[in-house]
Amino acid sequence: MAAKTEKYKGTLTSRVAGWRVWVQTGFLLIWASPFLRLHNMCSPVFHCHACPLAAFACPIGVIAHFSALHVFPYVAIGTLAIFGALFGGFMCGWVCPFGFLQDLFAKIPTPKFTLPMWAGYSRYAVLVGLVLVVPYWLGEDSGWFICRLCPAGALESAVPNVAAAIATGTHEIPWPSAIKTTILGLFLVAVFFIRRPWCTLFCPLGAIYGLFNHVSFFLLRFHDRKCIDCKNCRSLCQYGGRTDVRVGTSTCNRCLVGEKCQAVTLGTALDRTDE
Amino acid sequence: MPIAILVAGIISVGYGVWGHMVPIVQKPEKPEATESEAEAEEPPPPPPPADPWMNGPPSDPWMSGPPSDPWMNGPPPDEPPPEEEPDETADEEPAAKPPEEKILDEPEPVLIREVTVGGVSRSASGQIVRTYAANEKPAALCPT
Repeated sequence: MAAKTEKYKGTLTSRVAGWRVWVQTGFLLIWASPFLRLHNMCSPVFHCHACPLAAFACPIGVIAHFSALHVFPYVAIGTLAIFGALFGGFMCGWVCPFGFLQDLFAKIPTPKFTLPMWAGYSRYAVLVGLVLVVPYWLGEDSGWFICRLCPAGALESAVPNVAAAIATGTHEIPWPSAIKTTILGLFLVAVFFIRRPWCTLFCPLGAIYGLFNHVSFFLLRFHDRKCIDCKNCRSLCQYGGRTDVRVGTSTCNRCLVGEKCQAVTLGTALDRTDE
Repeated sequence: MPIAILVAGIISVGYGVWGHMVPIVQKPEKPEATESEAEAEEPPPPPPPADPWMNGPPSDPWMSGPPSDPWMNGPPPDEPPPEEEPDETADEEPAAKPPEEKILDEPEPVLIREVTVGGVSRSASGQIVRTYAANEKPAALCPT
C-alpha cells in the first residue's frame, strides 16, 4: 500500500526525456551543417535539400522525384527501412529538425488545441497522393508536387535563398509560388496553437515511421497489469488523447513524456510481453 | 520482424549504391566561340544599286511590233534528259556531323544528387535527360 501511494518518479528513460531538446539540438547540427555536403545520400529526417545548410537529401523529396522519373528509389527506401526498423517514431520525436522547430514554437505560452488521433490518417493521403501518385502521373512540374507545397521547403529553403538573393542584389530572385507562401503562412499560424501541426496532420515521413511503431526494434508498451488507474495518462500526452491508448500506435512520436506513467515501458522487440 | 526489415533495408541501400545503374541521356557540349565565327563568315554587304534611269527612260518593247508566235513552226522537239553532273564534292571531306547525345549509366547516388538541383527530367519518350549540357553547370537550387 505504501508503494502505491508513493509518488511515481518515473524510470531512467522518462527522466532522460527531459533532455530531449538537447538531443534534438545535437542532431540539428548534423542535418544542417555548413561543413557537410552529401546530397548524393538521403537523410532519415524531413529536411529540405535546397536549404543552404542541408547536409543530405530529403528522403521524401527523393522519393517524389524518383516517382516522377519512374525509377525505384532503393537508397531512400532502404534508408527509411533501416532507421524505421530500429527506432520507429523516435526519428520524429528525437531526431527530426522540422519537428524540433515545431516543438520550439510550442514552448511559446499560447493556448494549445489538441487534435483527435484519427486526424493523423491524413498523413497517408499526403504520402500516397502527393508523394507517389501525383509525381508518377503528372510529373514534377505539377502544381501538386509535394515539394511545391511543402512548408519545410518554404521555411528552410525559400526564405533563406530569397533573403540571400535580395541581400546580394541578384536580379533573379527565387520567389516561392503563391500557394507555397500561403501554406507557409497557415503553418506559421497553426504552429502557435497546435503542437506539431505538420507532423500530426500532413507529414508523409511521419506516416512511414508511424507504421514502423508496430514493428520497430525499440518499442513502447503499455502494461495493463501495472496500471493502478491513477488516470494521470489522461493528461500526460501533450498531443492529445490518452497515453495508454496512443502508446505504440502509428500516431505516437515517442517523445517519452508518457513514460512517466509506470505502466508504460520502453523495451525492445526481444523482451517478453507476458509478465 | 524488425531484424528482417533492417536486413532488407541494408540490402536495398547496398543495391542502390553499387548495383542500380540508371541510363541518363547527356546533352552534347554547347559550342563556345559562336559570335566570332559568325562574323568571319558574313559576306561583304552588296554595293548600292545603280540608278536604272541613269541612261534615260526605257524604250518601248513593242516598238518593233508584237512578239512572234514561238509555236509558229510547231511544238518543240522532246529534249533529251539532262546529263548527271559529276559529284564535285566526292573528293571533299564530309560535313561535320552535329554532336550526338550520349547515354550514360549512372549509379543511384548520382541521380539523387541530380534531382536535388533539378538536373534531370523525364522526356516524353520516357528517357531520363539531363537538363544541362556536358560543359555547363547544373542549377544551384531545386526548381521546386
